[in-house]
Amino acid sequence: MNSYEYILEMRNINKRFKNLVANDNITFRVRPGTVHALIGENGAGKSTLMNILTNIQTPDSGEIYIRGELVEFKNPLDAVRHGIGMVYQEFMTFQGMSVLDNIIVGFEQKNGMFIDYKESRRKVEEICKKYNFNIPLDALVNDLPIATLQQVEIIKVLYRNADIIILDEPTSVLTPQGVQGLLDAIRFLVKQGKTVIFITHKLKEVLEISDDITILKNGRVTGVLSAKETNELELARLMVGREVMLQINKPQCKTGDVVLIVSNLKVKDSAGVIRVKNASFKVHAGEIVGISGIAVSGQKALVEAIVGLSTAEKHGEIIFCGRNITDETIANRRKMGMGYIAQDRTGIGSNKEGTIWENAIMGYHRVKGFKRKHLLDFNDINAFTNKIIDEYAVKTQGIGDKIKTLSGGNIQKLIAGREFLQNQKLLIIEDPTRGIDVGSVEFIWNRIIQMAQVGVAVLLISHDLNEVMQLSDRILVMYNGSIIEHPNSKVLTEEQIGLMMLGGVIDEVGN
Amino acid sequence: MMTMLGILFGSVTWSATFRLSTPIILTSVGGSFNKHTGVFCIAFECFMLSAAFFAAWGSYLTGSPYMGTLFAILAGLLLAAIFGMFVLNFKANPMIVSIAMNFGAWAVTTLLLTEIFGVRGYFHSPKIVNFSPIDIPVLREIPYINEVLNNQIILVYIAYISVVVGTIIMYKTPFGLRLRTIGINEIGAQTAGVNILKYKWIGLAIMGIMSGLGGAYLPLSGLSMFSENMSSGRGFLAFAAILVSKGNPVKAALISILFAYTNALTFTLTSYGIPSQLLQMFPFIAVIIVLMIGNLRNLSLTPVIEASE
Repeated sequence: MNSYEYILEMRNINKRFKNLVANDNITFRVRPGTVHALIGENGAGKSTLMNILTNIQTPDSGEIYIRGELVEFKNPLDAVRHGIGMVYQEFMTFQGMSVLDNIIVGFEQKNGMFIDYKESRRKVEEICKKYNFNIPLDALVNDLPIATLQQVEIIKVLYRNADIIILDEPTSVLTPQGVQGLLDAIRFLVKQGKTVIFITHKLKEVLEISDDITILKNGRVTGVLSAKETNELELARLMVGREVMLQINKPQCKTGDVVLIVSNLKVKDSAGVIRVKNASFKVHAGEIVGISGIAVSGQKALVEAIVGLSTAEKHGEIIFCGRNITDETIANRRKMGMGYIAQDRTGIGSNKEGTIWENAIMGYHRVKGFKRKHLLDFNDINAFTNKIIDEYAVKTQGIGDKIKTLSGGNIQKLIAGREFLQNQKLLIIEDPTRGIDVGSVEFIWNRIIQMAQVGVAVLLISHDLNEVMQLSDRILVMYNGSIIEHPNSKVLTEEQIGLMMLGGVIDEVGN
Repeated sequence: MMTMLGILFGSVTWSATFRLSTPIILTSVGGSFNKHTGVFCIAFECFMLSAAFFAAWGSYLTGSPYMGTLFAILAGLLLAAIFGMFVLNFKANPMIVSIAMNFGAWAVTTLLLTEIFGVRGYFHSPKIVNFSPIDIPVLREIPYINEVLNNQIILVYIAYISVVVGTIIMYKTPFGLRLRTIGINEIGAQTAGVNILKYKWIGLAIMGIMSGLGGAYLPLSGLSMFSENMSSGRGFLAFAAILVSKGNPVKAALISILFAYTNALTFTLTSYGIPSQLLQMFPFIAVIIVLMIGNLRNLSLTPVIEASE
């Protein structure tokens, strides 16, 4: 038996990036010969913790013990020498090179000053044989399917003699069959004496494959459990359970006509990956429809298609106020009364080098009354900008200042004012309160409710479950590109919604 | 008709091609190493022009073309180091640094020409000793080949040897493999334990040395002369060769030969009364055509918008 209880122990790891605490006093222990799942939402601190383990990043404080001994890494190579190997979510493959070159680079077998390809190949083939991988070593990596690339990455860490193998979201890129193949491979690795750290947010896989589970949320450990003694609901609560910062009184809505119909919408991203799969839903006037989902479930692609920033695939339809706008230009969509508050405040929502008045009319400079023949009408502009500043309580020195001099909350209030004061029929609001102060959050929430009260249809997409639950009349869940609509979403508890966000199924009465 | 064939395939044209390709090949083989480390650089005009000046000066001072070439290599190395200092250490924009260095080199060499030799425009002197042609006995008996390949100066042979050696280093050694991974996936290379900064500096050094050799060819190939802006676009031709070949020394050499061939044609065709201004466009038209063909598969008629996640 081993003389140590844990093959890996990370004690009291702290890491902060400017204002963001990525790892807050995390302690993470892994028993040898086990599969240890590290779960949490995107941004929970998993990647940072693993980057610290592989020495891509250095911690502000904390200690790492391997096989019971305190280690100090000076560079990523040190971590490799201690037997830590990571399969990254974004594969570290080298396009245009052969599989063999990809595997051996940095650790080539040498013959004088040349690479000993014969010996290198023999070593790699030996590993492939031992661990049951069947890979064409001379193929270019560009030509291989993703599941095979992943195997290449696993062979790469085995070739580097890793004992602790970290798999970062390995199943997110695989088909269901591919997932089974991977899980089998993991079991085989463990049987051969390796230890696997499995990073994911898919609960079924976690319960199926792992022995121990550590859960992270907002940079903290919220639970260390044994897979045998837990269930999906408990994991979901520990992973996405909401923190109620403030409560808000929301009056009952008076639903009007249908404003937005999305049917069978399918959207690919620029890399050709399908991000939205046959999404269908409706939004009525006077109603706030919330879309919740863990990060990168397709929300961004959905919003971009509705707003017009990207083009949806042919067979889907977006109908806005009775008109098919699937191929309409952004300008026309906006002219028809579509307002948009982007998640990326300073990248898409505003021009951070622009002045406050420029940002206040951005997007409406040719639609509304800001134009006098070919020149800007500054009386009109000043009046409108000051109206936003007054009604939306934007704290500024002067409207000629650059918008980047404002705080996040004030920028968001300005953007909200710009979009809300234009007699819109539909507002698409994406993460409106991310990273702003509590006062501004409450202010913006109240304004959103007010807009719905006067009959505007609101589509609210947020990563903050509490925000969606507080504001929405109806909650849609986005999971892995699909929209899941529960017939009576208001009765759902946060655990149940959390479970749906992670791919679980809840029936009509909430079981 | 016969004369046309004679121009296109004659030994005179091809001998000139072989000769004229030398500076472009040397520079593009060196630049290929830099290209693979992912460091963007178009300061080849600067390296070549400065090297040309120092080659002329070195040869003038010492009476030896070999010493002149050593001067040129040191100049190339020093300038590559200055480029590296700005781009790698100070994180300056490589495009701006390149442009500044290209124009700077023109100005500085022109100034040095006046200061050191006291002339304007060009300096010609028998004291700038050229390389002498090398007679290779084996080739003497083979009719066409002899006229094309034999009796060239040593730099010409070095250029073609450098293509072979460069290819072997690039594709058969751990050094080459690691170097190539950096340009493809820098973080990936880092996770493979490659010291990225070290490799980038080595890439820059190889680029500097080879551009120095390429620049040294210009005054020492028989002209005994340095003239203002002597490199006259060859650095950009080398840059184009590197880009189109994606840093493969063999392909880079082939493209350099194409450029040299169009250049060689201009010499032979001028004697047929075709305006020389028109003919001088040839190499650059060749660049544009090569770039167009090289990028045809990237053709897209819709704009690509990359939004941040």
